[in-house]
Amino acid sequence: MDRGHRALRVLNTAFVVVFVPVFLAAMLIANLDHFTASRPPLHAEAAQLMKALGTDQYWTMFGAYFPAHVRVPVVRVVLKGGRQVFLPPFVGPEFSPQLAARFDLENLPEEARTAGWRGNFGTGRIEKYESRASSAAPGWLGVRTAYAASQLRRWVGDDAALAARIRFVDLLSVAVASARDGKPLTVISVDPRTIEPAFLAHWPAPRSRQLNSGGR
Amino acid sequence: MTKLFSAVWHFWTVPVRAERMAAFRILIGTLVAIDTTLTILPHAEWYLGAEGLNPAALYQLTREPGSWSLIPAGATDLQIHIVVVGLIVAAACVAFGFATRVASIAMWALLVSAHQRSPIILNGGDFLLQAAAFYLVFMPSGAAWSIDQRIRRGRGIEASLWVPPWPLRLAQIQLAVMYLFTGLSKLPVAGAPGPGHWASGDAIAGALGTATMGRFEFLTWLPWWFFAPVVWLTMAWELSFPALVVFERSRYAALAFGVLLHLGIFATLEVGIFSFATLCYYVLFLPAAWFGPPHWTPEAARGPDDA
Repeated sequence: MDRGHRALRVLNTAFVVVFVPVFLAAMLIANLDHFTASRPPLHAEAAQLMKALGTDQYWTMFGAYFPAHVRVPVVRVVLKGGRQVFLPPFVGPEFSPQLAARFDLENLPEEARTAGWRGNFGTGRIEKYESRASSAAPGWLGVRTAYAASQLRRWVGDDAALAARIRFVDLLSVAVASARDGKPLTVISVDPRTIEPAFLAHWPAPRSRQLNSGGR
Repeated sequence: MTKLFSAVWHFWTVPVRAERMAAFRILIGTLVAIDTTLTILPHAEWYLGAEGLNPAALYQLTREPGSWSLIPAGATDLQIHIVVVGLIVAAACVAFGFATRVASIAMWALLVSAHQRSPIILNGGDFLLQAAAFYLVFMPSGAAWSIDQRIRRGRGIEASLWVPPWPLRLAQIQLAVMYLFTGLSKLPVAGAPGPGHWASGDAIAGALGTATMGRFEFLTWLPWWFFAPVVWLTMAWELSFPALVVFERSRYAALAFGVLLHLGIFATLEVGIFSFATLCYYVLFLPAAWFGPPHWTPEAARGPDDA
């Protein structure tokens, strides 16, 4: 073994033996307050979640976990006459019937906001698509529109009479938080997302202007 | 220094046994065939069609400059099924090593076509598969464990099992670089680690608690700090992976940790084929002797190709 190769081996050993313990120690030290103390100030989103979940603890070792939350897209179809239909996502939590019927968080009792966990098996591709469809990013405007069209097409099918009864369609992004510790999922907000039917050659409903007034 | 340069030159040029590339070929071909059959074929029109998830108008509007696909924007159902079934057949040919080089080119072209036609349903595993298919185009992976090899033997042609190493090296480096940059991307860029960052130790608990990705709700009952050591160990492992796999004595421990990590990801999170696509690359790091015929000895197989 020549000197260059031996030097590389020594460097490799030193890197592994020194780097890994030092890195782990640094992570632990950097997070000491994460284990033991609260960490003000809360950013706006965290404050909103904490309020919705009824807890004031944040990042304490034995406190409530900062909830993971996810956004799922829901297509709202408003028919002439005022009836609303909500088309739920393929992947994501099961909404309570009361929430699905109204999506009006301000006027719902707390328990009606809860949603059931759905096991995720073989849904990876659609999950990716739906996470993009629920995003507010301007770059996903086309994806949001295509998602709404796809859901609408599946619901309308070949029923031309039903399509003619549609007054407008919009897309809602529903934020669902996991409270952890065995508590149920909770819907924390419903926000409209812009769509643009003019993108598509075949929009499966009358091209009335989108109101995007759904949500809270 | 001359010897170091010589070692680098050997790394890229001294022939290696073909069995590792053959194993990689079999795993990637099988994975592409199974994944396409189970996750794309049943929904082919919906994923790739003119009126599907990525409609023709949107596809033409949003496709990246220079991107290409053999599936036209307004493809008919028949055209779509020809491409998807063709992809499955090509992948099966790759797995069995039949017309290997042509099948590898076909698999790469059709895989890229399907992915480019509807990039909005792709995940990290798909991109790894695209890269693997590209490397297979250049790998002499049909030299061993293939129908091609049997056909050649039947004709009395005994081709060498020692093949050029550079496509193997590129694929090895691909995986090492992927882990390194994944680790770098998880480091906090500015300020103290906050919620959602890997450095704050809550990444695994956060992923398990994501209702569209986590497979089992009961895993959300565990506190974040239960997983924090694994989060940090994973970051350290990713950042040091290139150094760990360079030498044999640390290589197998690094690979074993990776196998556990990816099996854990697959068992608990719905992230498609990511875990399996990554693990396919691991065979490229195993010793050539592991794949040799029974009469081989490790000493006979060990050589400059053993990295």
